[in-house]
Amino acid sequence: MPRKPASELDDPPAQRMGPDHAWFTGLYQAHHAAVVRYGRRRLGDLDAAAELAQEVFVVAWRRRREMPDRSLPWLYGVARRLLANEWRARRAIPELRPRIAADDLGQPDGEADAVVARVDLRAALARLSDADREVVLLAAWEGLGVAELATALDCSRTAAKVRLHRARRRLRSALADGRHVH
Amino acid sequence: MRAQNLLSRLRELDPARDLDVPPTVPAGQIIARAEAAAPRTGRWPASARSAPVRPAFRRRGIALAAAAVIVAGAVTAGLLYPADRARFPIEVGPVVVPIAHELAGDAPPAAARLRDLARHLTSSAYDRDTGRYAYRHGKSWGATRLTSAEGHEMSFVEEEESWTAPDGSGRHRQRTVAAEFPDEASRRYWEGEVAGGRFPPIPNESVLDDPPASTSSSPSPSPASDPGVPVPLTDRTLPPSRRAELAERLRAQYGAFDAAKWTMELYRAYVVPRETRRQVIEILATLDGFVWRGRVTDRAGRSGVAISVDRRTGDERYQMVLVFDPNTGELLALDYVELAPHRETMAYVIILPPGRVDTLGATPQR
Repeated sequence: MPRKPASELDDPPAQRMGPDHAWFTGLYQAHHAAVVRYGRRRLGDLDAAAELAQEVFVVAWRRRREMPDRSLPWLYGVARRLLANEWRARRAIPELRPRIAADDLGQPDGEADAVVARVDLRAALARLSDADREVVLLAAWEGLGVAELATALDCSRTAAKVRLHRARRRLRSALADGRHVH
Repeated sequence: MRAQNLLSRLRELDPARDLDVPPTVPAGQIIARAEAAAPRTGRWPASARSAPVRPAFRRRGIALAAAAVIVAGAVTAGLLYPADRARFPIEVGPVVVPIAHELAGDAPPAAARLRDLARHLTSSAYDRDTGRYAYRHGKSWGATRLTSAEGHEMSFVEEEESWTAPDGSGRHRQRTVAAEFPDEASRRYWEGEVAGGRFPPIPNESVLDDPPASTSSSPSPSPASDPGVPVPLTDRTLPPSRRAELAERLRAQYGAFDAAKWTMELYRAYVVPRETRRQVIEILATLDGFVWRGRVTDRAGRSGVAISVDRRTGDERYQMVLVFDPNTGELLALDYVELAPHRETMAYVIILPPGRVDTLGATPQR
């Protein structure tokens, strides 16, 4: 069922509500989809991802004074911590496994190698630590550069660069190990 | 596998690459949910303790069907004043008018006067404070509004106190202390409604404790466990010290109007030391648009000096006014005013004396 976007009539004119509201409304509309995508990639469920996005922006409003100018990486950092709190509460091992679309597995014979390659990569990702996988995927799926990674991970730029380099190296190693097993 | 090839292959696995989901909950409801602080039963724990927004919003509309009320700041049953319709639990205050300026008409550019202020800053009483927690105190009006079907508005004065430790932990306390109004017609209307017991639940007090920022990281191994990766040391009670970082924090690149708002946010977030106060004023002096309004008295009765900047949006014109202490350069207040088509105050923030304390919940002794 298509989701009805929020009507402008549902929200008081942002400008009249004061500078904070106007700014936040713009931020919310600009970045909501990206935060939902972040959640969808890690949760595999769109409703859960949308709910996560709401919580992220609730935190964003409460902590708006801390928000840097480049806000999307900061929002990803909030989402990461919310997910981490949730998993700690459940005492479950978080599943950050990338999900291959079902129709990928039903390709004609000519695409079989591509499917195998995707399965190999998925398995290699699953073998990474949570931290390594998150760094790799923030760079690949969320498209974050080093400076933005530093914001999302709440570390220095140097630390972010090192972590990304090592995570990619470990991913390549896991991929190579997986192929040897096959 | 080359880096670019790996990146391309990873992107092929992205399960959300074509997903574009617009918000289904208006921003105002998100704000309302953040402002409320009832115990949560939702999925996501810890950071934002609040009740679901949409059901509360609709329940309120049904309960007050006789006069359909749109609540811009939602409240929850757990933290409301008792539903005793015989007594309005907070002060019914006045109509809020823009503060008067010494130089009300055409005013000169502010740059020279700001630089002079920066050169002659003196120490504040709190510059000598020591203590684990940075304590901030203030009042604001205009963030939470009730609007009747006829357009009569009532907004609340909220008093806030925050304590923040170097690791980001701390406490935030917020109380609703009074109702004030943007115009006389709204005041008369709501006075009548209050007298007749026709008012919605009023936010009472919320207290939120924040965990240390460092422990809110992912459960994965911390950077410290990876040899050679330095652990960042960040004192979250200190504002940026480098001028470039401070200018970015003030959003100076977006101009004077935005910088005015973010100057206020800086003072709400930190106990601003003397050197930072000086740099803030110097940064504001570099921005086009600020004019000097001369001597003013802020809403807490304090003498200050003011600058203002206007912004046009179509036929609408808005003004930010910043009031500074003429000696210490501390920000005392911000006013946000609509100038056209109607002249009225949209919001105000009062920065009350901050300081440092050793005990969570304590206030500076002067």
